[in-house]
Amino acid sequence: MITAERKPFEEIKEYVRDYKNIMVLGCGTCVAVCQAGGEKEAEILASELRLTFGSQGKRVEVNEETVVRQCDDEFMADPAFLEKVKEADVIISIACGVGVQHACNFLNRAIEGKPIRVVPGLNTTFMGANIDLGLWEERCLGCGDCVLERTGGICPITRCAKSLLNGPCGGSSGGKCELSTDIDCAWHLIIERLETLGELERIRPVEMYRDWRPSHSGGPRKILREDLRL
Amino acid sequence: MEDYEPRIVAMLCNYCAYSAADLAGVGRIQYPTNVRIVYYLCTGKVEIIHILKTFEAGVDAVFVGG
Amino acid sequence: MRAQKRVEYTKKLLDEIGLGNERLEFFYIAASEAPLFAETVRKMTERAKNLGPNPYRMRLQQEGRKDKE
Repeated sequence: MITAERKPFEEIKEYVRDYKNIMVLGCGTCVAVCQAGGEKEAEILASELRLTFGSQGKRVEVNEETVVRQCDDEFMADPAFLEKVKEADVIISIACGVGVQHACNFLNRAIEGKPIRVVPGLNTTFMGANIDLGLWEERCLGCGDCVLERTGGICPITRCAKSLLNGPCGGSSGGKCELSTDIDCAWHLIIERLETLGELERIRPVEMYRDWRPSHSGGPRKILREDLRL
Repeated sequence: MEDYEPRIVAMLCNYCAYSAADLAGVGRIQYPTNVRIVYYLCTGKVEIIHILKTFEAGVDAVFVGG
Repeated sequence: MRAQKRVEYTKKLLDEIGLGNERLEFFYIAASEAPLFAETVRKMTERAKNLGPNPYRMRLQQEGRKDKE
């Protein structure tokens, strides 16, 4: 899942201080699960803005809406929703960066005659897993060429700070990374896992080099599935 | 501000503070009338938005009793 | 305890908003502690008196008056 954290309230306030009618737009998928940008969080942010502007004597209207996903046209195409968007001077999208961009793009296509301003309310952090209550950790970089088969289900691209394909490096000590004792050495984990699997031989051959073009290094990526198109 | 009487909301748990409030009534223990009680089965259900909305409704202070 | 942690978090939000975290508090009051409950209500009333009225409500009331005029 994509994880995110709310931007500092001061920063969000600064983005919208010149506007009278503000809409907080939540996103009901990834960021709702990591409790940063779902329906609840949209309500909280809208309430905070009303209280802060209200107690300063600033007359603003702040409303909240939440769509299932901001990264898909179909969830935002509802005419009643678009009518509400039209009334807003600015939209604070509390989706991930994908959602913010897609909402901005879609809403400006769907609504004619009025440019729609969309500003972000979150900082998108990473693709991660919910490890424990209130704890998320990064697990995938989306490198475009998965190596997990060879590494016992532990990703060295993401979890090794150097993204080493042959590890561990000299900085690994006591199972921890030299960056910080909070970080596990991914290669230490990989070797332990392969040992329990009895598959240590798997990493015996040296991985010579890797083609990074399927990753972001090849520029922004696209997936085109002809079978799904009309 | 002479005539200012604060409005307070108390969010109370059925098993702890609400029973204490009840007992205070039975025992005729005097306490200020500024407080309005919201009953929760457990204060674990007190949501952030409940507190914020309470302030939006114009209340001056909130306490949660568990 | 969950409620207490949530209150701590909400206190931070109240600071950000500008209402101040003192307007919100968490108390442990056991079922048998009726005098403590009365004392807590007194404490919060006193505190609210010192803090003055909720600025958001004051603004609303002023706006309301302006609208009538």
